[in-house]
Amino acid sequence: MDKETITHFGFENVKAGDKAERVANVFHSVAAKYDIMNDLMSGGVHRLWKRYTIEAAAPRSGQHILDIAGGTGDLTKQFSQRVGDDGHVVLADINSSMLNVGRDKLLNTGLAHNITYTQADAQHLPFDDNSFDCITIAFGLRNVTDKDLAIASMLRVLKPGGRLLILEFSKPKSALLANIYDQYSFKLLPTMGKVVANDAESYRYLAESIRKHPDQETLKGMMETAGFQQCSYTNMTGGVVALHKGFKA
Amino acid sequence: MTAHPTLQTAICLSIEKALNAALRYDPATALKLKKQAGRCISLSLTDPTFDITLYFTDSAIEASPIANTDADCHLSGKAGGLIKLLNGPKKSLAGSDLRLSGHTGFLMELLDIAKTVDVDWEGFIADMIAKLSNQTVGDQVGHGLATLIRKRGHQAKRLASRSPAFLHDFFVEELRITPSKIELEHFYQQVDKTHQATERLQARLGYLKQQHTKQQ
Ligand SMILES: C[S@@+](CC[C@H](N)C(=O)[O-])C[C@H]1O[C@@H](n2cnc3c(N)ncnc32)[C@H](O)[C@@H]1O
Repeated sequence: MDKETITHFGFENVKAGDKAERVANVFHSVAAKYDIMNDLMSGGVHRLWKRYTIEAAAPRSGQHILDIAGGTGDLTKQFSQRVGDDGHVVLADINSSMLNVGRDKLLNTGLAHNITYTQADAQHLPFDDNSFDCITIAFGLRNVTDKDLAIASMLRVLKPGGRLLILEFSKPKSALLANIYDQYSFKLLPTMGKVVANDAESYRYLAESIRKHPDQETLKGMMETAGFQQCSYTNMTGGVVALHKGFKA
Repeated sequence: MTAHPTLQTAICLSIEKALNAALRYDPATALKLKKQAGRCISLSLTDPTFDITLYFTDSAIEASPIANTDADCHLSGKAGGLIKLLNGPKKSLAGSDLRLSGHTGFLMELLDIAKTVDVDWEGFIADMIAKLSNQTVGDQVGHGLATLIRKRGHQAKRLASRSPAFLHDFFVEELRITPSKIELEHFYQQVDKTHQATERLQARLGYLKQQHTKQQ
C-alpha cells in the first residue's frame, strides 16, 4: 500500500502513511489503563475469548510461538507456561508503551525465562523464514494499515505445518445482538473510556475500527489469498468476536 | 465443532478450577493423578452438545473446550450417561450408550480416581447443562434439553449450596456471559439512559459555563 493511499482510521479517512502514527498515539495513550479497560469493556469475557484461542493454538512443550500485537501479554503469559523451559515465546508489538506494560506485568508474575520482547511491525516481521510453530494476533489486525501485507509476513515466518490464529472483533450474527453491540460500543464505550481512562477519543477509535474491520468471510478469503490452507473460523459470543485459523502448507 | 465456544470455555475453566482445587485438598488423589501426567482424555457429549479434553500434567489438570482427536482415550455419548457412570457403582460401559475408543485401561484408572475424589459430579454436570441451556442469543436450545434441565434443576441448586464459595461466584458472576433476551433489553435501556444522562450533563455543563462567562 502506497503511503499516499487513503485508508481508515476508525471512521476517518487518512493517508496510509499517517495511520500507523495515529494508531500508535491511541495505544501510547491507553497502555497504562489497558488491562482494566479490557475487563470493564467486555465484562471479563475477553479472558474467555483468549483462553479459547490458547486451546485452539494447542501449544506443546518445546514449541516456538509468536504473539504479534501482543500488547500487555495476556496470551504470551499462558503460552510461556505451556511451552515450558524448552519452548520459547516472542511477545512483539509495534508500540513501546504497550510492550513495557506487558514486560513489567510478566516479570511480576515471575515469567521471564522463555519470553523475549521485540518491538516489531506486523507488516514487516523481523524474523527468519519458517521460525514459528504458531503465531497469534489478538485484537491487533484491525489496527494494522495493510492487513494483506501483515498476513503474508506471518505466513513467511511460520514453519511449514504451523498455524496462524487471528482473534478479532467481527460481525455479530443476529441483528438484535448487532444493534445492542452498536449501542454499547458507540455510546457506552467512549463514556467508560472517559471516566476510567480520561480518554474518550481513543475508545471511540477502538469502536470505529471494529466496524471497519473485515467480516468473517472476508478475512477468511484474505488468509486463503495469502496462501494459508484449511482456513476456518469460529464465532464467539454470537459473532461479536471470531477466531480465524489457517495453516502453512 | 464447539456449539458455543465462549460458554464452553467458561465451563471448562470452572471444571478445571474445581478439579484442581479438589486436588489441593486431596494429596493422595493428586499423587495418583501425577502418574497420568502427559495423557489426555477427550469427551464428546450430546444432550447438550459439549466437548471437553482433560490434559493431565505434572502439577495440574487442564480443561480445553476443543476435542482432541489424538487423545489417549475418547468417550462419546449422552451427558446423562456420563452422570450415571460417574455416580453409579459400576465401572462398565455395558448397557450405557457411551462409546469408548483408545485405552480402556486409562479410562478405568480415571474412573477409579473420579469415584474417590470428593466432587459432586452429578450436581456439577447438571449445573453445566443448566448453563448451556441458558444461551438464548446465538444458539438454539433443543426441546429435549429443556426437559432435561427441568429434571435436573434441583440438582443444580444443590451444587450451588454445596460448592466452594469461589465456584459459586464463578458460576454466578463469570458465567453470566450469554445474556438472555430480557437481560439484553434491560442492558439496552441502561445504555440509552446512561447516554441520555451524559448528554444532559454535558448540556448542563455547557449552560453553566455560559452563565459563568456571562457573569464575569
Ligand atoms: C487492542 S491491543 C491488543 C493487545 C493484546 N493482543 C490483547 O489481546 O490484549 C492492539 C495492539 O496492536 C498493536 N499494533 C497496532 N498496529 C500494529 C502493527 N502494525 N504491528 C504490531 N502491532 C501493532 C498496538 O500497539 C496494540 O498493542
